[in-house]
Amino acid sequence: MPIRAELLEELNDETQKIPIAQERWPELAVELNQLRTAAEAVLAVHDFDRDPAEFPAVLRSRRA
Amino acid sequence: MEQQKPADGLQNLSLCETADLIKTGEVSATEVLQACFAQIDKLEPIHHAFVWQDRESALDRARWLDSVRSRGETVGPLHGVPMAHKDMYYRVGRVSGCGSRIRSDEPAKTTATALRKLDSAGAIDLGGLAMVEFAMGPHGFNAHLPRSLNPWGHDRVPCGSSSGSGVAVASRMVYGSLGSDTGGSIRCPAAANGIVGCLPTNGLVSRRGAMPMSWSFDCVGPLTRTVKDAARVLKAIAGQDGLDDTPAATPIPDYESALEQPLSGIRIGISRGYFDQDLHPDVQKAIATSLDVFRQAGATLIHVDIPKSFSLCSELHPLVMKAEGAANHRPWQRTRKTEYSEEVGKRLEAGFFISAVDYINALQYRVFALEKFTDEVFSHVDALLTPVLPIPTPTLEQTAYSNGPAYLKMVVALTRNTRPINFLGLPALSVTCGFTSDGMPTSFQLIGRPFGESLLFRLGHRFQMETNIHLAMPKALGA
Repeated sequence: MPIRAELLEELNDETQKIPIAQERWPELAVELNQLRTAAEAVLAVHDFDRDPAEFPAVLRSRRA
Repeated sequence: MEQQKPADGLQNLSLCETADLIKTGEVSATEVLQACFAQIDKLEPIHHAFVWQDRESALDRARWLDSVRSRGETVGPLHGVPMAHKDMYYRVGRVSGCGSRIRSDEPAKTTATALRKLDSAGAIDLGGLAMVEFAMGPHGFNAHLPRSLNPWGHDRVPCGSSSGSGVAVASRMVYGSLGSDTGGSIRCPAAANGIVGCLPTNGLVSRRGAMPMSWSFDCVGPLTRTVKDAARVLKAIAGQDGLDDTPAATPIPDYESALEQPLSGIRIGISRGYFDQDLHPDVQKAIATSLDVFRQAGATLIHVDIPKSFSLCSELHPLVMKAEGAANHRPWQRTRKTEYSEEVGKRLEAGFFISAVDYINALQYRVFALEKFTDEVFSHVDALLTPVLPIPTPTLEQTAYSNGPAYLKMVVALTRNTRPINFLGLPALSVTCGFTSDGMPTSFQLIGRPFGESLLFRLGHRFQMETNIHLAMPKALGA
């Protein structure tokens, strides 16, 4: 179920409290649904044992 | 008889040529600095590269450097070279506005490691350069500042966010500049302004004392006119400082000494997938010509498939960047929203609604994607050559915020080829490789293995030596 503009507005009122113009909510919903699609896509290769803090070590392990 | 000095045309010398002349005593640091002042006086009223200049301090330092030189000594490899930097590198007691209103009156409490290292290398810090507000945007426009103009075409964007760095170096106002690159902010302005830009490996250069935009992706790197200049500046700023944990404990090679090595045996990758999509024919032609230069210079060209995981890197980049940026800007976004420009104020809004779980999963994926990309690409080639901008440099009108969906499409296109490289943390070198049919410069980027800057410099230097494209002069400089 896609993220709805109304949900974002309620979430903002309760938690973030950022002044956001009324006309922005539908645009933000579109943007966040795009980002959520990308976030869902990573689950196909999710690795339970993967620590994001390994990134610098992996960079070093793949060095020239 | 008084020795003839190459005072005329000092501005057209490269950073290394100038440093070498100062070192041998053929010109003084003060003369070089005065030549920069003259160029700035001539072009700054039109190009608006600077936010501020501190000529008095710069002159004091030039005189001191000349006094050191008069004793037969030099401070370092950048002795007497005037530089100016994106206005986001802190120096104690000085205001770095970060292109914003919010930080326009807050003196820094620390000095950036990169500035300290440049000081130690003998460089002169001449001023702060224009940038997109808080480095949030690729086209170069900042509603708080006079518009920086691209010296190759005043109707074209200089790109950003290191817009002033691109314009000042291309306009021969300074010999080099620090920019920052979170999604393309060094490479895109370097490409648009016909100069060189280096994105170092994530963690090679300390970000201590540099304005944060996105901790996972931010990198400090140079914009210069030649690859050799970039190599010299990167050598000066790279390495650990004991203050920022990210710089890797890795020896920094002498990049310059490797520049002249032959290219035989070097494998350059031609991408199959992602980078060859949505490419303008003019850019495609310049890339093909560049590849031919490398082939004739002895490199081997190999087609290489870009892993399917790569396009997801491009899509996840904004998720991580916006989440980190929103977290950092939250207090100001709550209480000082009206002090942001409309365009930049809105840019982070989505970040407040990205879940922590999605953010962390994206960072987990980053590790997987880096392994996948290095294993699948760099097992076949030593460097990958791709366009920086897939399109000719856009006009100011094409990137106007008021253009709505067309504006959004353009902004996304500008960083299409650069932001996934930040996601992977790999080094990339942007080098001008030709001109589109409208006369604007266009560039390739050489992408290498982690900490593989030395090879990228070697390839880029050889390309400049073979083609001399880097010597072409922007229209606004009287070309």
